[in-house]
Amino acid sequence: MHCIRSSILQHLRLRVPVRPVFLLERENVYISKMNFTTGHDGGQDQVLSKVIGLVKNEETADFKKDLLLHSLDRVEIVMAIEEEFSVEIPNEKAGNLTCCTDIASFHSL
Amino acid sequence: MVAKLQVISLCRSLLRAGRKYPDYNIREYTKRRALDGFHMNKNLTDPSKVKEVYAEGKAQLEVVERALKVYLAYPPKTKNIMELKVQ
Repeated sequence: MHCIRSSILQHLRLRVPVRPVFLLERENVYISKMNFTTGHDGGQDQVLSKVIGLVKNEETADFKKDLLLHSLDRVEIVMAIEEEFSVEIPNEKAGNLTCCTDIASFHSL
Repeated sequence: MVAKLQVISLCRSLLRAGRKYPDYNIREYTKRRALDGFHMNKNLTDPSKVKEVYAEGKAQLEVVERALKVYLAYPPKTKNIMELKVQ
């Protein structure tokens, strides 16, 4: 459980372009590494598929309960996603994000 | 009494302010230092201590914003190698 969290955070912090790799198999939930790339390429479909690619089987992996990420980690993730996709997520909304699909909904469709 | 929401909002402000720097090194440093600072103090319970570190954080935010103005006046001429796209 803790290795998911540390792997996610480690990958966020290094921000090296890596091919998606399966991190951990846990009750049929496959979580792949965030595929960070430098530069702002791709349209909305690619953006959405990137975010959805985060959690393969289950898109509603709750940050707090399933991935054991506390609010500071959530801040980090949201900031990383903001930077990656060049979107600004306002403060009030950021508090309500609990899973990856919430974050994906911020991209202009 | 400092609320959790305020702490999170301070963290975001620090990260956002740090992002604006033209210099890659400073950007990375502010991000790293902000997150480390919050992680180190995340388990504090004593309210006066919490207030103290929160005030420290707020002061640092002011420093970051002030220094940003100076750095924006003299942006680096070449791109840092770490910012180049991997071929």
